[in-house]
Amino acid sequence: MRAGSRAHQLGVFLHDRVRSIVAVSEDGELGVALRDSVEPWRALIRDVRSDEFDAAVAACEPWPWMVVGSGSAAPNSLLTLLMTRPSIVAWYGAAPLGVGARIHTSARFTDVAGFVNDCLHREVGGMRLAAGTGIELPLGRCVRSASLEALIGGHPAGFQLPLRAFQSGARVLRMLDIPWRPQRAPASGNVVLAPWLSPAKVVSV
Amino acid sequence: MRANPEVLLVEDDVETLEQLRGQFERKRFHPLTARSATRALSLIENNRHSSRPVLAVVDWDLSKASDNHWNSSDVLARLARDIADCLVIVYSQNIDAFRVRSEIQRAHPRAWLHDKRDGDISLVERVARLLDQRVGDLRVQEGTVVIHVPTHDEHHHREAVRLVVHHPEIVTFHSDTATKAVRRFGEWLTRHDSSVRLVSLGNRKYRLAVLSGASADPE
Repeated sequence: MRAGSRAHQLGVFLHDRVRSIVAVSEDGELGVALRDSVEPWRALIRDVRSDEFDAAVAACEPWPWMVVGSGSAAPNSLLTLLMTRPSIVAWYGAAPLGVGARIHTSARFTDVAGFVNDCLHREVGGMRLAAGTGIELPLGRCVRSASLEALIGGHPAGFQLPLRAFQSGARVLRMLDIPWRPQRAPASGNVVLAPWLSPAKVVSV
Repeated sequence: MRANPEVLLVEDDVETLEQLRGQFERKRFHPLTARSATRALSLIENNRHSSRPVLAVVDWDLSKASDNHWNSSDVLARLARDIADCLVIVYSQNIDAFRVRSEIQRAHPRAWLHDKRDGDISLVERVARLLDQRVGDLRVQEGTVVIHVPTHDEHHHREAVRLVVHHPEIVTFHSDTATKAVRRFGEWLTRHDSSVRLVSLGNRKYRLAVLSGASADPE
């Protein structure tokens, strides 16, 4: 077997629907440090190099919940990911050119790890991330929606994306009659989770 | 009838391998032993229809192995791909080196790490802690049986053991037989009015959830 194909047999490239954090760095130190900081059942850490980023993103079904990177250059496709999918992005060190406004940056690793854990532990309207994948709702119910997982983790900053990117999350909330919806925040213009009053309720008030 | 759970032991040093085999046999495991990565891969391949080890203990440094065509990274990657619900412990003298840890975690992102310098006893004690798991009012005993603590009733199916041992992680089951066993375990939990319930996530993925208000530890 050639070295290249052998490398792509590694577990970090296995397709999986569990919540994934793609840790992209040149030497792996970032991935190792993150693995030490995050409870393993909350998210899978995929420790990859810059040239493996696309393969790692493709392995995350439907997309990586979070990308954490380091170094002055971002993988070429990071901006594409940011412009199409609600992935939370954190960067250790100065933000790479072209993506600065959309990502969380910090010069200290403890801040980066703290940010990751804050996102993993966040609760919005009684909803929080379940172990591995999905969302735990009030009364012990569980649902799966990648866009809703992103909105909860990324709350309250939200995402610079069209509202239609959050249709599955909105559908889940509507079906379960949970009074929160993805909405555009007036101040930032980002899509965030916000309390929602149904038109029927508004009329009856 | 109880089937002793299988453990895959990959270690290139004969003496250490025999010590580990003895330790695990005393704990009523059925050890599958390999002194090289090639042999370990062959064991996984040849037994894939008949056995699924609940645990694999892999020495990272297999430089003494007679055949170095494959290495421990290949074994870990294969375990991650084909037996994702097997608990994997990788041990090494250099486990503190971040490059070693990075290579291990790239091969198997869910592998647990253990320092070889702590000795075999420490490894076996750690395994016991991993396998004697408690979830809500359930307890796994010696990696072989799930006990409903309030009634002392036992559930022997290894898929039930897998679910409890992996809690709160998601477990993917790879056959209809296994998913049927898991559903029967879910019914067993309901019949026993357990504080733990089975959550189906589709695509043969399941996990356990402790009902809110239930104590994390029944004792």
